[in-house]
Amino acid sequence: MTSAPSPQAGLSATHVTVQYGRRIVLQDVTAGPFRPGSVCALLGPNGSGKSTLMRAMAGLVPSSACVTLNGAELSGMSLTDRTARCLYLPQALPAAVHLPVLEALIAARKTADRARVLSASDAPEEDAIQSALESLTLFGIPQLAMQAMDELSGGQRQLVGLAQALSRKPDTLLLDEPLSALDLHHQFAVMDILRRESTAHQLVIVLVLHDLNIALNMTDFVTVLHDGQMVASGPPAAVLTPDLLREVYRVHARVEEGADGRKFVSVDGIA
Amino acid sequence: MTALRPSGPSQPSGTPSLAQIRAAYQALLARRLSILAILGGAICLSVLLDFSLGPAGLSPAQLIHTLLHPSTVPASQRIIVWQIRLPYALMAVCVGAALGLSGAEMQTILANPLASPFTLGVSAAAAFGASLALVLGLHLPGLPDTWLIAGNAFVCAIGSVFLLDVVGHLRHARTSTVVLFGIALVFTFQALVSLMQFMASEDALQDLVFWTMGSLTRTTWPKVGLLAAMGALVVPFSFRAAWSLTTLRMGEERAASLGVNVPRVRRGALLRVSLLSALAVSFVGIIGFVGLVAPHIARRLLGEDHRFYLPGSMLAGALILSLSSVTARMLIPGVIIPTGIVTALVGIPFFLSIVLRQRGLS
Repeated sequence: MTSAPSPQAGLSATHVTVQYGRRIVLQDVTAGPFRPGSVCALLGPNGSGKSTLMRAMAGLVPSSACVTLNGAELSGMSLTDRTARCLYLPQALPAAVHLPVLEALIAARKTADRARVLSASDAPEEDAIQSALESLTLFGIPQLAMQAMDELSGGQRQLVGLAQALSRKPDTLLLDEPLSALDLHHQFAVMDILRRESTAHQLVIVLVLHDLNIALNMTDFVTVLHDGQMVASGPPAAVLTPDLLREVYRVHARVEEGADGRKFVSVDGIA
Repeated sequence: MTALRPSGPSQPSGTPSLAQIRAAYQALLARRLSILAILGGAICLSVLLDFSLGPAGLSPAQLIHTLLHPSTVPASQRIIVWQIRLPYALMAVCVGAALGLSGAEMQTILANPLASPFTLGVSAAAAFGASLALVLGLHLPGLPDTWLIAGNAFVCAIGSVFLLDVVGHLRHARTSTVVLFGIALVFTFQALVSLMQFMASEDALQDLVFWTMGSLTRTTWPKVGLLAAMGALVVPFSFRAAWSLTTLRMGEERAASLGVNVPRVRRGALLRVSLLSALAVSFVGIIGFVGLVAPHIARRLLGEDHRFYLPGSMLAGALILSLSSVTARMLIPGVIIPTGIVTALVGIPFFLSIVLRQRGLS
């Protein structure tokens, strides 16, 4: 972030409470602001409410949340308008359907056109093809364009899902475990791409991560959830302390610094 | 690190240029169009065959002459062509297309390859409605005699889809719940039809058994016209929803996050499907197989882009039923076997030859 952002810049969610039946999944969580041009991580153990918070911010689950993007209230918008600005990428990989990858991306664009979401409604197909090809090139998978989704590996489908999301060119991306099926090389490569895209287009990118070392070194801001409540928020090095890791993740861990200044979490055992 | 290196086993010779990908995609689109054209041509041939075979077979020249100049041919020939053969042949095409489209949309919105008007109880409900008219003489007031059975069948078939819709909107209902409920409907209505058969007089029993076999011989021009009009009304909405349905195939949550109003798309499709399949089934009886397999054939041949998959399913359904109609006439000379019997026998080899042959898209 080059200039001081206005206090309203970015994505903020206040007083998010989500109940499934009688079970309270999120209780009065206030998160953000997640700033444009940054990559933010949502951390927490399994079942802490990370996915639910993302869905609530995207408007996909009923909640009492007040969600604003750059000062504009998202909560009152129609789902189609909202998803055009703030796109949630589900944790489940795109289904293995008998559809060429290129067409899977075109469909993601054309669906939005049909819903009259994008300003370029009824955009010609050529635009959809162009942005699909750009997005596939961005993720280094243009060679998959004509392969069917049901011929791809899980990791390849995850990359296609990411390309699908970015080809829609939203302002905000909420990525639910976008690295879960990727090998080590691709995990770092995707983080690199996200950081570059975020800076270049001033995107708000929030992602659920399990790898604390990636969170420490490749994100600008982390928010930690535990049992449906927000327990910490801030720069990763300040938030991820041994005390927090013991309380939230129930492990004895140290945060060490390598010779090059990079931090890493070293786990000694479970607490 | 600036970009991902190309990965995947199929890339020994480097990444294709974007121009190459565009060309390949255009070629794929062209190939799909030609497959649709071939299916359409095959339907025309099958309809011609339908006329030229059998006891009163006509050559194509005679047929065209009769169609264009009906007043110059003998009355018997005119009646055979205009009142019997032509409505049967067109009904086979219309019913096949209606069931094919219904099956395709059902399989997409329910995310289940076994969904079809037959497997979800629409056909069984229609049979129950028919049995009410045939056995108990219960029917809707104000309908002319020739429409009593079809009217009952239609009302029951629509009712069964309405029940599916209600179940789909219950809290915590998943698509699998709807499918299971549909299967429960099949067994329920089959049991009720059996009960009717048990109670029926000998004549009524014969009528009912014959009805459930599925036959095109009940066709009349008004029925063909009504089904075609319903198709003309419904199909544009199906094609308009093509992109949303394609996106829905990649996962319900993904579709929702991409801005698809999933409940509305699902409800619209169910409404279209119920109108088309209920009407088709109420006119011809139980012809179950087409709605199940036509979508699979289209998926194999064309992929799951619904711009091609939906018309492909319609054409595949129409072709199967048209060929079945020809076969029904041919198997035993002088006897028209109920089409429902023949459909499975004709369709299964066709189906297996396409589905068992695993292949990619290009």
